[in-house]
Amino acid sequence: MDCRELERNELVEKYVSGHLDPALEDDFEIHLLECPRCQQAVEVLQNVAHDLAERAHEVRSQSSSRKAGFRWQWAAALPAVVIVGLVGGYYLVRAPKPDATAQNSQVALNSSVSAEVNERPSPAQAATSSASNTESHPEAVQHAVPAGAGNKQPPQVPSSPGAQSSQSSVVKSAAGKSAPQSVLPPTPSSEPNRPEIVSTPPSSEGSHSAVQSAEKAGSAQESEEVASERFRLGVVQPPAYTFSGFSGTKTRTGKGGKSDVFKTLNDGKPSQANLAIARGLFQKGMQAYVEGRYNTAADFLEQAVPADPSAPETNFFLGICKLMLSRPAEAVDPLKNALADEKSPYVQPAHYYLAKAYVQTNHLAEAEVEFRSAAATPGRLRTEANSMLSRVQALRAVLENQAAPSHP
Amino acid sequence: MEGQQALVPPANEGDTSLAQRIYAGDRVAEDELVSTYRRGVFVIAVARTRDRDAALDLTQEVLMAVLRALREGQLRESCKLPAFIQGTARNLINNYLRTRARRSECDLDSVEVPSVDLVGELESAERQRLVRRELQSFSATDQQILLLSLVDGHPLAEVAERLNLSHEAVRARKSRMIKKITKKFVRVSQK
Repeated sequence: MDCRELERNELVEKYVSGHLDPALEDDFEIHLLECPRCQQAVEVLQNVAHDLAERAHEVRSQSSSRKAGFRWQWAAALPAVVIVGLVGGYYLVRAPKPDATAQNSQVALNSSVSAEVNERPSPAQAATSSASNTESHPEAVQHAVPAGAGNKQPPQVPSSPGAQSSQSSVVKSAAGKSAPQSVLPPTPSSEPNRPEIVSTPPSSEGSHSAVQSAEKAGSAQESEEVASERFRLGVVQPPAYTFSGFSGTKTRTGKGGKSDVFKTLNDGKPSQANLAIARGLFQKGMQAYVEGRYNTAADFLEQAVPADPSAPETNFFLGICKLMLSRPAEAVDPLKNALADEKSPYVQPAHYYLAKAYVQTNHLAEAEVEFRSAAATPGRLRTEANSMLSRVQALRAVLENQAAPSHP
Repeated sequence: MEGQQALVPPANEGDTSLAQRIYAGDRVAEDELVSTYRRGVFVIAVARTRDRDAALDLTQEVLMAVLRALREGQLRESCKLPAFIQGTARNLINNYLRTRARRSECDLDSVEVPSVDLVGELESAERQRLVRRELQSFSATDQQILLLSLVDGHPLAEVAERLNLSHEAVRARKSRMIKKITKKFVRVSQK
């Protein structure tokens, strides 16, 4: 017995992923019973698989480009922070102190500002002198922080793709790269606020400018919150499925107590053989579904659909699998098909998850319609659908406000 | 079939005497058998069912069946104890998988939870937590490679195609991750 040989042939991971040759499986398991080291190796990989299956949706929704961008963050953020600090420090040092300006008249202030503009050193000079200047004027640094920044908290969804992408968008723009594929608008830098800090006195007009800059900072943060909210609205928890019998035979009973099997036979549509095939494929698919293997489940369910295209449960769970595989656009059609039978118990969940698919594909109007339908249909998801409906409406209102042209 | 030959363990004298002692009615030997093989049976049950709760129950069932058989002297060649345990485990797990689809739902409140190994559960939870932390230190692509191959069961060629990577790159990354994580946790467990 040689554990190294097992390692070399990657038998442990083949065993965990279910790809080990059945001829070898028994012998491997006999070895496993006697080898604590291999037991540990299998256990570790089982833990890895278990954890990944639990977080499958999260892992699938992370795009590799975002993660690659994240690696650049620290490298790109350092020079960006230094440059912003130096330039900001330069302007802040040049800005009049609030207590001094309060004592001076408006005329004197304007002349001092114009004199400063004429006397501005080159950026290189500013860079060399700003560090010491910033230290000698700590109060100026306080003014550099946007007024609204201290009051508002960042969105509390650190793991959301929206939040990540907003971070990376700042970094990438600083590094001179193209903007990432993100639903979030780019976060504005502090540069537009700088002239206001330099040239405006702490008068009523100045405070108005401060409010404006705070609003700008606030709106950027708001956009981030909008993206986070959109992400939260699109999060999907897969509905549970239990093997308490084949739901198709239970639920699809037509009027007069006749089952659909006979009905479809009379119609000349799916034959009993086809239904049996569909049932087998559905069960295999749902076996994979309950184990969190959504890809395999989707494959089986896709094969089951042609055999019995009207089966609401097959279409419904196919749609869910597509959602779990982060393919919301592909989830729309199966979920719509699941709505075909109005008496099916899948009507309300189909509306609900269809709305989720629309949220993920950024069709909020359609999502609102579907959440409304889910809320209007009796079932367990009514409260949740109502809550989602109001949140989608609020989100749409915010987005419409943002889209409207801002007045100076 | 050379590989298979290499995998078959040699006859273990300890197992021989263990089986004989159980047949002779030695209760200490029964405890020894349970402590020696419980973990291995559990690992096999998890691998075959992918359900930890079911695996716990099945482990109990398998060990009870083995003990019953050994007490009755059903094991003809006592040197083949591991093969006997594996065969029993395989049969019981297959029976479970066959009947699982037909099992009816039951109210969770009415189920009486049997006493469990709390220390073992805590250790397991801690291992799971550490594994999660380690996994989260991997890049998103690396996690997707593991998810697609280990959980979804896709071949590496398909994983490579899905992630727009070369087959060799996926193989190397997966191998590196598994080596790293296995080395780390197997070493931790042995300390």
